[in-house]
Amino acid sequence: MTSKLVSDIDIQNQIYGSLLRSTVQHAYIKAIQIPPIPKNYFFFTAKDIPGQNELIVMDFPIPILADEFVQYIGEPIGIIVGPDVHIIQDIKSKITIEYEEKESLEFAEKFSASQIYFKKIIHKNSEENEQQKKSMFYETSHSLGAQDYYYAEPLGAIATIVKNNLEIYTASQWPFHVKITIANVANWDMHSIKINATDIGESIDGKIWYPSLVASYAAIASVLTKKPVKIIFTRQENFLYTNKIAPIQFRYRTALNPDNSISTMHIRILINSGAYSPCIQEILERIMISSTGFYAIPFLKIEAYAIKTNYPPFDSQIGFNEGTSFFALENHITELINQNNFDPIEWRLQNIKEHKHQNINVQEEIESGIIQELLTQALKKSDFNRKYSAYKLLSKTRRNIKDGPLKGVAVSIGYQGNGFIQRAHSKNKYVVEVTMDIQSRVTIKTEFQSKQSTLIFKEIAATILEIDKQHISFTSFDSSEITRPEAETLSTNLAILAPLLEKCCTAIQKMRFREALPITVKKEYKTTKKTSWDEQDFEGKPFINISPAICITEVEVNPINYEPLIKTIWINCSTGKPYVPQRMNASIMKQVPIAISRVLNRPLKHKKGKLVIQNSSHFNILHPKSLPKVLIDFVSNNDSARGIDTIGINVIPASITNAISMITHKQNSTIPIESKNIYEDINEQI
Amino acid sequence: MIVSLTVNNTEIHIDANPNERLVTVLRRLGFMGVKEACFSGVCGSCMILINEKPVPSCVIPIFQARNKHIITIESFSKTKEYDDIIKGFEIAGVSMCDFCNAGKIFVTHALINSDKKITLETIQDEFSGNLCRCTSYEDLLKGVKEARLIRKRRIT
Repeated sequence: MTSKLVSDIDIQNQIYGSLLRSTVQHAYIKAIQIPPIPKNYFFFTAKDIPGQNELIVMDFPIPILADEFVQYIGEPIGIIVGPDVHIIQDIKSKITIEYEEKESLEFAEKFSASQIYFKKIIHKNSEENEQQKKSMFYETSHSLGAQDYYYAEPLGAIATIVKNNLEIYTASQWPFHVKITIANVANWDMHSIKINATDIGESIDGKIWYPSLVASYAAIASVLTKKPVKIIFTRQENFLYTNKIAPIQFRYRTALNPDNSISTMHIRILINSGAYSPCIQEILERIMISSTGFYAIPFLKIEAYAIKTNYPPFDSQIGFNEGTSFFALENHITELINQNNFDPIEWRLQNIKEHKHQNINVQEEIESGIIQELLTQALKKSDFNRKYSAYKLLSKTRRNIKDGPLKGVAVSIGYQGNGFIQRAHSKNKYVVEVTMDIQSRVTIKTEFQSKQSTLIFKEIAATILEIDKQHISFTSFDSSEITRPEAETLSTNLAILAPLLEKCCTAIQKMRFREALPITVKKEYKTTKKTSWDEQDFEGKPFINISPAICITEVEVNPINYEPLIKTIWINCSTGKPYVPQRMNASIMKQVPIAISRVLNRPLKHKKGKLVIQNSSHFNILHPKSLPKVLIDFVSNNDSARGIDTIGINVIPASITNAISMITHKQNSTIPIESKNIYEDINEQI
Repeated sequence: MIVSLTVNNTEIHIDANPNERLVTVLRRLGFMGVKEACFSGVCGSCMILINEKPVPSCVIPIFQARNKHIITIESFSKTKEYDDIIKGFEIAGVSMCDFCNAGKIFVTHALINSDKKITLETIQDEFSGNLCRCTSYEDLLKGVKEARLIRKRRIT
């Protein structure tokens, strides 16, 4: 019927926890005045934490509770625990904190060295010759504002001690991380911690490391009070104080050779990391890798900086922000094409190289000629060339707002990198165990949470074993057996777990009529420490594989209110082995409203370090009536399966903004786009 | 304030604050299939049937639920009507992340019981109070059509 969300779970004798948060942006904590606390109520600070006061993700630590100083409004300082939530709120309102405020760190083009949270600079053949140095550079800037995640349930966790085992209930993409964090924070034996992963939903955005932090609060309170403790954020708390999608700025400078091919590209990337951004290395490297797309660039320099500011943690969006790079890159390329009056397709094809070159060579991962094949199909289906010429002419000759419809069409090229870059650096083990019992019922034992994977895996098993899907069930390994020390992504599930499942089912199918049931088959995949990705020089194979895609979007701007209406989106992508074709379409379709909302939603606004509340739900997801027609095509082959779960989010925003640029005659430098900007740009042109 | 209402065919008398929303009271009573989310009737996560009509319980003050017959997803999931919808959704590949299931299922139930023609426009209209983040409306259209077909076959 309905599965369990953490907010649906109540444990006998449970008490509740709530966080006391900082009210200032950047300050030393001078003193905390605590009122008399009623019996059975408790107030814990950093000094009460049984273990270490830190959560570590990919080598970046963040404090569980602020101790001597606070770095953003809403940073947790203490935990108030007790049986009645109203009394907890009353206690919270009576606690006073004395601060010594400091100047807050802001996100700006210029920053001090102490503000650099993480940086990476790479040069590829940066020894430019004299001619290149004299070349004219085309320069554009692009920025993306902070945005909230789409989630069903606000963050929460329950911790309880059962027979010396510390049991945690929470929804996390990364149960192993919850476990190691709790062991460190609660000073509890790792083998006596059990993670009961609750339903994560399909919109798993923003649930990589933050659930470990929330679970830590519940665990600390439970260990100290010896009672089950439930902490669920309110929607407002979740919106105001938890991690958000990071604001990013790009600056591209490109020079061309006499034959119009790219000679040099300089890219500068600034990310607002907030006070803490523990996944920053993965985010930054992914953005850098995708910032050149498929274009061949002989002389390349990329500087990327994560800037520390006094804001809540800024984090990645689905796909670790690859889509932000494609937005900036494709808009830069479009501006370059427009300034030189190049043909957008011919120029792109001239500059895309599908063999190894001196760029960040993700091209090694894809089949030869695939970009051209995808592009040709998409152009034909969308009637791009005719529309492009017509709309360009219409736009060029417009002298009045009434001179024909405000229409635009544009193409974007991008990909989805599957798996983590850091994946190759650690020893990971992926295990799938399939058992067919004497009634031919099948149990699949593996480690994943996503519903999408469940549906796909059921289809695979049902097809190979020729049984009804109803006879397939899932079980996870006991949390003491967790072998998958990385966060879950659908692309990893597809690229690694699906082939293992296929092997298990094929083996059972061969044996089931010859040998007595039950039969159990277990398959493993181990990654080694040896890596084919050189993170210093940015060379090698960063991902398990990549899924290239083309997106064409047709947009019309309403001449009355200047709101853009996305008419049609064509997506064409290469998927490798298509396990369940009917799920692939659905997977991309569900990204469409999220991708469009990224471009057209109102941006999040901060005022003195605090988010301004705009509406009651903060989920300005596109209304079903505003959804465009979406036509998706796949090019498949028998290579290993490729993820497509973020492909729409990666390529749609770039093509929408380029199509709007065609109408406004102005490069879109910022998303989200607001209709007042479209109005100004169009009227400036007329 | 004591309010009497019938939830899943059981008469209940509860003491509630007059300004409490029905969703909060139902969850307090243990009906966790009713989810608290937008509190403004736009997401469908708290959908229930009141006198056979799908209604978001987050916009109903408890006093307005007095003497009403309420069916929650917990009870509805034990019916054959529910099975029809789930089978239809499965065939069409409708994603069910469980947060707004109640909304999707109750709206589908009302839609396939009506004599409305099921088109994409109907789906967009009828599901306008359902902010599903994981299902495309094309899949939902297929799912509702399949569910109606399954129900028709079962009844005839």
